[in-house]
Amino acid sequence: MVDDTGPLKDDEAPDDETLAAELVLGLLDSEEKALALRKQLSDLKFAQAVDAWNRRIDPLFQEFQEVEPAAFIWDGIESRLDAGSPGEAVVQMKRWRLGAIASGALAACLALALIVGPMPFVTPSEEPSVAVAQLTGDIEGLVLAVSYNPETAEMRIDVNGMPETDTAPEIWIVGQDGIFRSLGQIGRNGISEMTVPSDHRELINSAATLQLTMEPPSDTPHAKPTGEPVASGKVTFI
Amino acid sequence: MPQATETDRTRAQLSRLIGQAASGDRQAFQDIYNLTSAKLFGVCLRILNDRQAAEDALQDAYVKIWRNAGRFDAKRASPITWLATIARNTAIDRKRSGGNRTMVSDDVIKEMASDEPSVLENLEAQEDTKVLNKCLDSLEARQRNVIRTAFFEGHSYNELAQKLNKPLGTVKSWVRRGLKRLKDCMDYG
Repeated sequence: MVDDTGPLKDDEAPDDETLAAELVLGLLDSEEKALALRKQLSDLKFAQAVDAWNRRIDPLFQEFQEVEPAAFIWDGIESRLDAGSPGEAVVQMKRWRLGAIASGALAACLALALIVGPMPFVTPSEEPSVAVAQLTGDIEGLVLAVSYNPETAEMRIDVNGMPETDTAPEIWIVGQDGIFRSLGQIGRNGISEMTVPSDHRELINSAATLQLTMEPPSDTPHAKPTGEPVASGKVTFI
Repeated sequence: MPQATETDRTRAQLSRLIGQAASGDRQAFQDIYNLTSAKLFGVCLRILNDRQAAEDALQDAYVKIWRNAGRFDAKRASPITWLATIARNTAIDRKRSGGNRTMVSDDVIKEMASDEPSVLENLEAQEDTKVLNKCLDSLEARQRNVIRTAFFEGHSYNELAQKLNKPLGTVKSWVRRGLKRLKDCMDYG
C-alpha cells in the first residue's frame, strides 16, 4: 500500500510505471528525460508502459481548444518542405514510379531527397543506380535516411531524433540468411558517410534490411548486436 | 454493424491522408494541415502561452509530421492523437529550451487548468474518455489538478513546484500518488 502521507524526497527515484507516466506527461527535465528516453530504447517493458500511458491520457487531447492559426503559417511550413529538397522533381519521379515502388520506399526516396538536397534526378530511361532505406522504430521522432551508391560503395546515413544515450548507434546489414553483419557505428545526429566493406557490398540488395542497434561505443564493428534493433528499414533500389 | 460516427469518419480520413503524405503527396499534407492546424495550434498555444512561440512550434511540428508521416501506425494511436502528441512534445521542447519563457503570465489560459470538470466540445464522450474522467475525478483535488496542469501546460516538476510555490518533493508526491491511483482506477476500475 502506498504511503499517502508525507512528501517524497526530491531525488527519490520513481518506479518504472511512474517514470513512464512522467515521460509521457513531460514532467522530466532534460537529464531525467534523457535517461527515460534511453530506457525506452533499451527496455521493451518500459517502452510498452510508455505506450500504455499514452493511451490512458489520450482523451485529454480532446480538451485542447481549437485556435485558427494565421494564414502565413502554412506558407512557412510549405517553404520548409521545399528547403533542400528537389520539390517538384520528387513528385515527377513519383508519377512514373508509382506503379513500381511500394509506398514505404517512396517515403524513403522522399526522406533521401530531403537530406541530400538537389541532385540530378534519373529519368525513366536510366537504370536504377542508388539504394535507399528509411529506418524507423518505436521511438517517436527517430528516423534514419540511408542512401547507398553501389558504384562507389559509399553509404550516407542521416540520423534524426536520436535520444541521448551512453550507447552508440551501430548499423547492421541483414540479408536473407537473417545474420546481422555490422557496418560500424555512426554519428548520433546528422549525416555519417562510410565506405561499405567489400565483403558486405553484395548483401546490399533488395532482399536486405538495415537495422540499428544501440551498442557500447567501439572503434571497430561488433560481431553481434547485444540488444534488439531500435529502428529498421528495407533496402530499395530506385 | 454500428453506424460510423463523425469521429470514426474523421479518423479514417486522417489516417488515409497521413498515408498519402507519407508517399510524398503534398496536397494530402495540406489537407491534413487544414483539418488539424486549429487543434494543434491550440495545443502549442496552451503549452507556450505566447503566440509567436506557438506559431514557431506549430511550423516545427508540421515539418516533423511531414518527415515522419511514414511512421504513423493507426493500430497504435488515433491519427489526431499522433499529430497532437507531436505538437505537444514540440511545444514542450521549445518551452524548455527557451529558458525564460517557462514562467509566463497566466492571462491567456488562466481558466484552463482549473479544477472544473472537463468540458468536451463537439465530441461525444467515448468509453475511454468516460473512464479517464471518472478516474481523474476519483483523485484528491490537488492530485488531479497538478496532473491536469502538467498535461495542459507542459510543466516539468521544477516548473510546477515554482508555479504552485510548493517544495519539489511535495509536488512529486501529489503527482506520483495521483498517477498510481489513476492507473489502478483505469486498469482495474
